[in-house]
Amino acid sequence: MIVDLGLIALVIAALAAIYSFVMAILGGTQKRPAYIESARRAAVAVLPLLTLACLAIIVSNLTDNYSLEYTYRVSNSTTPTFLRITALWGGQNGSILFWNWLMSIYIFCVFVRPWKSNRDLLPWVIAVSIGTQAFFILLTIFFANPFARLFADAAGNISPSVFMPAGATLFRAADGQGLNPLLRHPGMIIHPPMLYLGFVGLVIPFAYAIAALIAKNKTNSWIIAMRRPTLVAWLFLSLGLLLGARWAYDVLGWGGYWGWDPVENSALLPWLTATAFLHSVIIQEKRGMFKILNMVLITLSFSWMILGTFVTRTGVISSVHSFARSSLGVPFLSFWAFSLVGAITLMAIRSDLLKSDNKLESFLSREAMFLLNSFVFLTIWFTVNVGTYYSMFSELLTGEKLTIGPPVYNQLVGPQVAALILLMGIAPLVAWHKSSPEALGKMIWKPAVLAVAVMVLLFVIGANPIFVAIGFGLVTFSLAITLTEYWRGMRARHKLSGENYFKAFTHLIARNRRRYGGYMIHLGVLVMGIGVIGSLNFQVQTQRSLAPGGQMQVGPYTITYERALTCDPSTGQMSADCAAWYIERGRDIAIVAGYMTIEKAGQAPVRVAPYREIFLNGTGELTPPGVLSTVGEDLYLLFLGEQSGFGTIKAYINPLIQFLWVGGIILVIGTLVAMWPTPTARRQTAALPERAVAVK
Amino acid sequence: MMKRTFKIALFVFWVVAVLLLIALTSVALAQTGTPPPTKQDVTADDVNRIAKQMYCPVCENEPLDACRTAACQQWRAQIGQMLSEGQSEQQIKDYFVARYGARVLAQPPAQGISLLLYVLPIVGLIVGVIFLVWLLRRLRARGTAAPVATPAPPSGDEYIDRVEQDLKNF
Repeated sequence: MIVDLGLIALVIAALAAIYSFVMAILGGTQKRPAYIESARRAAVAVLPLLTLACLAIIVSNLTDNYSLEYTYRVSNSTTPTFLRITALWGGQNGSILFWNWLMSIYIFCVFVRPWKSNRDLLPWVIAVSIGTQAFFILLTIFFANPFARLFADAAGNISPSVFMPAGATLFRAADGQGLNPLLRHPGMIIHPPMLYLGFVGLVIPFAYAIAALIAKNKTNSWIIAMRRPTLVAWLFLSLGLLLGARWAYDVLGWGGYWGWDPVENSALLPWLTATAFLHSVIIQEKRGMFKILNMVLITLSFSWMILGTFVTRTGVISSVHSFARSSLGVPFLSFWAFSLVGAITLMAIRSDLLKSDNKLESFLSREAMFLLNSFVFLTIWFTVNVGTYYSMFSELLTGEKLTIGPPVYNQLVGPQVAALILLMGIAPLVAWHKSSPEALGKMIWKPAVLAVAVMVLLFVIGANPIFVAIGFGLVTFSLAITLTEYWRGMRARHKLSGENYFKAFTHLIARNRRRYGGYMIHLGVLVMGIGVIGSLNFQVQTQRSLAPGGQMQVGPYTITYERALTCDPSTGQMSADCAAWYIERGRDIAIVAGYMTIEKAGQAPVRVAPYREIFLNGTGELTPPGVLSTVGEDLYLLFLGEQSGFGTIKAYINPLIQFLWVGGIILVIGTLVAMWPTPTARRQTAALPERAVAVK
Repeated sequence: MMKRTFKIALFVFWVVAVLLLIALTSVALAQTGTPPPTKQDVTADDVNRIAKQMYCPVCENEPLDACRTAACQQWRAQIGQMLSEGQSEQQIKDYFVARYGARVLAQPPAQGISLLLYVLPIVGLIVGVIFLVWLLRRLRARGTAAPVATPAPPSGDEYIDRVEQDLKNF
């Protein structure tokens, strides 16, 4: 019953989206405001309809409805309530529905209020965004329908189908298969929604950009209107990447947080172009330049978001051959190609609209620096693309799949990131229009001397390889400049208005959130840079097999192995100690835990128990570490298992890794500062009566 | 003046190029092999040092030293065995490549089809730099008539503007 309701809601949502798309185009081409208004309302209606569809899946999960294929796959009678809800995005079909629902939230927020300005853009913004939405809803209905039910035919064969096949009867399984244990970790519950929110949000700036081209809008109003939604999308994309890194660190057990794995890369690619776009579009707003570049950047962000969704949702990357097996392949790639070719064609048709308003006055200008910045982002993007999709191509060309591991990426991408960090320092100091080398030199010589001092110092104390010293030097340089920017603003306010420094600081940020929020994001990235360079180059790794009571030494830490604990519900090997391990876990995993004590001179001993969580259905395992975190480093211990009385322990020291997480938090706060609605509008309206009185 | 600014732009490119060169050479230097351990002292760390640079076909996207499947354990045991027989890191890698193909290496050798992997980004970079220089010069050259005298974009904040003004006189 509830399943029927959900399916009907999904179909109506598709119809509403298609209707809205058609009416928006008709309204736009025939200049009929009534059509456009109707299109807007239909677009807004998609969210409640999709909400209903999502709720139907959740209710089905909650009520043990194992005749629904999706519930059967992602839930079972022992699944806790909370996980039955999050199981909405725990399987392929449900996650695509959920993806749709998130996109409809953006669309709802953008169109829920009637537009007062930019009315020429409205029909086309609707058409592009709801067109994308319609495509994905249709994809859900025809290729990945979560409302398929299980039917048994006359011969007793059970197969999923949306509609009842002739002569078949509805089949209700006794129990479900349960959620993939990998997806029960809190990190994996929260990480996909963040990433999806970042992905789907990119449709909004793309829709605005395309609308401006179609409507021949030469003004900057679309840039101002799409700024906040774009920042929201960028924030979630960044959060998704950060949480993914943290999740990998917390449960995957290889001592790292980023493996340059194709799934990670496909989420990074749109982030790279979106970041370049957020920077470069400032030049278009202020100087009317780089219009083609901005169109290219937002188009790449959008189409690579589509490609990324395809890659992460279908597993095509592990082998080209799975592409042929996945029914989603052809529609996805067609849509990707269409968005790319369509946008480029439109840019060619409207090339007169994309002419630069101003010329570049100097190679040493803010404008030129921004161009250089986009350029470096694009070369990184290109490199990661080559690495990610190369193995696919090599398989097609030679029949042999190649592995492209982290060393390759680190070599190729590292120097380019170094260039970005250098630019992060220099660019904000370069004046608009043109800057003189003398003026620039005056501002950068102190940070440059500091940076060189850091490099020399690190080199002398033996930082190896040499690019570690270079990396830290560059980070110092840009960090010094960014902090100086805050300091100069604070001092100026302090001198002009006599505010104390703390007040000057908060007012400085409040008065120009965009600029100082942006600097805060830079600070976050630089702090993260310290963590990345440190953990990448100074990681210590060692492995020992110890008898109970045996000790191993890792850096300043002494680790004493106590004992192992093995719990396996399938064999009934469940000692009294096991109960504590199963409080919040399903019974379909085995636990192999190793108890050990960490001692460091001058500190109280710490007891940890890293463990392996082995999924009894054979789909894999998790290896959560035992971690002792200090400001300078993490001691990261893994328990690999017990054999003939010996426990095998793998220990890592991850230096400076805390900087990565702290930098991530600074980045998120900076983004919030930059996108928080400025109170200027309120301030002005509040100030008006006063002025009116004064005039009288 | 213009010559000078162009020099600055060139300087920035050189910085990028030099950084790239330094990083690549230092990576190359860092990769010179370590002497093979003698028979008696093969440890798990020696095995992991080699395994870290390899992938076994069972574990998609997970280096051999981290993968916990039985197949990967066998590979690691074999690496340990070969090390204790006195084989070098290169000999061990060559053995696995000969048996299972170049896919076992985290870093494909720069030859044959994989050469493209290293060449493409560098070609991309060179083409990009040429295009960028061309674009910059074109943007610069266009309309060499009087530049449009647009004032520096106001920040919408009197304090900031005054700060900017102060900085100019600084």
